[in-house]
Amino acid sequence: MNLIKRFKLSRELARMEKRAKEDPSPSTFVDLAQAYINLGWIDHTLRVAQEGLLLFPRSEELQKVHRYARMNRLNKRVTELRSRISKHPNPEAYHELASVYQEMGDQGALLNVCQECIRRFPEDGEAYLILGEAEVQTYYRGLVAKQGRAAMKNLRHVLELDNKSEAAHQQLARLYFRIGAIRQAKEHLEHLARRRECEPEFRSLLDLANKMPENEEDADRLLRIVEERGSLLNRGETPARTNQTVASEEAISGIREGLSRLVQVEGVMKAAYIRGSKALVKGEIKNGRDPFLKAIRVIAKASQRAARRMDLGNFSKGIVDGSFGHICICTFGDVSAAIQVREGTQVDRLLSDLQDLVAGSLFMAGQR
Amino acid sequence: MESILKELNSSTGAKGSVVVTQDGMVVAGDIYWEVQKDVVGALSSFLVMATDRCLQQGKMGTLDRMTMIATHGKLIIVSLRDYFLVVLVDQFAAINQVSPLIDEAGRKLMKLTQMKV
Repeated sequence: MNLIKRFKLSRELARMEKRAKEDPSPSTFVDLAQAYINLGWIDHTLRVAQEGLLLFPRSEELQKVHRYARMNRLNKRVTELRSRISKHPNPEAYHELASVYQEMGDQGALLNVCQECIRRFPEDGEAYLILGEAEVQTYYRGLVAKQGRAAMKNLRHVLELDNKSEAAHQQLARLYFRIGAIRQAKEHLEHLARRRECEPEFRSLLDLANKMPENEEDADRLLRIVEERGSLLNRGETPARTNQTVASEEAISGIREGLSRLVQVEGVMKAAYIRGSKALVKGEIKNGRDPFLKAIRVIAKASQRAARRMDLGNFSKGIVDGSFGHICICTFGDVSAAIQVREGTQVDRLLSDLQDLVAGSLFMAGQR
Repeated sequence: MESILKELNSSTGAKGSVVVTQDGMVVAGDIYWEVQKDVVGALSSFLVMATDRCLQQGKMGTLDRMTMIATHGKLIIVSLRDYFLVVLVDQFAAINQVSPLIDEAGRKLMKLTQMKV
């Protein structure tokens, strides 16, 4: 690029930067970010997207640009680290590469990197720890016993290499406690509690564990029970959180308002919010026996089971189309919100409104 | 059938796609993923059957299409009358971009699965 072109370019970019500051809107930020993308200046793209999202956090375009820039920068870092590893393989580079993959959300690549590191450096406890932590997270998402066993094996191996590894003790304590292996959880919790700087979470867990009966089943059997049951035996609440009221008056009125807003949208016939056996409904629903409510429960449960068994993680959203129009469902844990809309209604926006409704209700319940 | 599925996978960037009968038998498939064809077939059949049954019991109608979004991927199921097409895409795939291609493949497969007398 010659000097004149460079001058013109910097002047144009300065003009666009000024416009974004003086007349901020999602499109001015997206235009500016696009100019940086065309130039291949990813760091600037990321900065502009972040600035834009501070002002317009719900802008889908800006979120896309931000995601693109972030992934691009991480991909660049992956290439750098890969080349460093091929020239001078060392555990530190592998650890950094694993953390980059973790940030990218690429669980498969993260596991592969850790396994590659372990093959080359079998005494590297950190690689086993990263692998174990990643497997624990995968296990919590799908509750597949095989993944839980793999996580336990790797975390125990970390302790064989270094019995003082606090992170491994913490992960194992949480995992054993959650699957109901109280005796094994106590071993790790007691180890953690002996430390002066023990986190309050583990002291609370130890108090809870001491009050619970010790299960005679071994961890392997408990993992299978959890898989069959589809939920953890203990969710790891601290005493402070066990007293939470699940749905306060404020939360319920917030959900009602959310449902009312949804049924006011053209094309929406029915809206429902379901938690366990209770349901809040709006629209053309006569009573609690409406087949729409049963359909939501069945679809959410079947989808959750299918997603887990296919290793797709947790089911979060779904759309069912048919002669009845469309049914949109958003699920988190035992909470589902759903709407039935007429054929031809645009569902993308409604689906994100449902997601906001579910997230908002859980947030309010969590605040109590 | 497999060539249609291969073409669909390459055009949508899908992890795999299968044609399954209502009772979960895999008729054709192109899947390069750790999950086996039979598992996808059986679970999709379970999902469709469970959904269809409760819709029909409630006299709501019949299922044409189902999109399931999960943490690590998306599953799109399209009814082809006696069969259904199941497509697995990753979590970043835009449904509105891949849907027309899936519909097109569904139409081609529907022609193949219809018997001419």
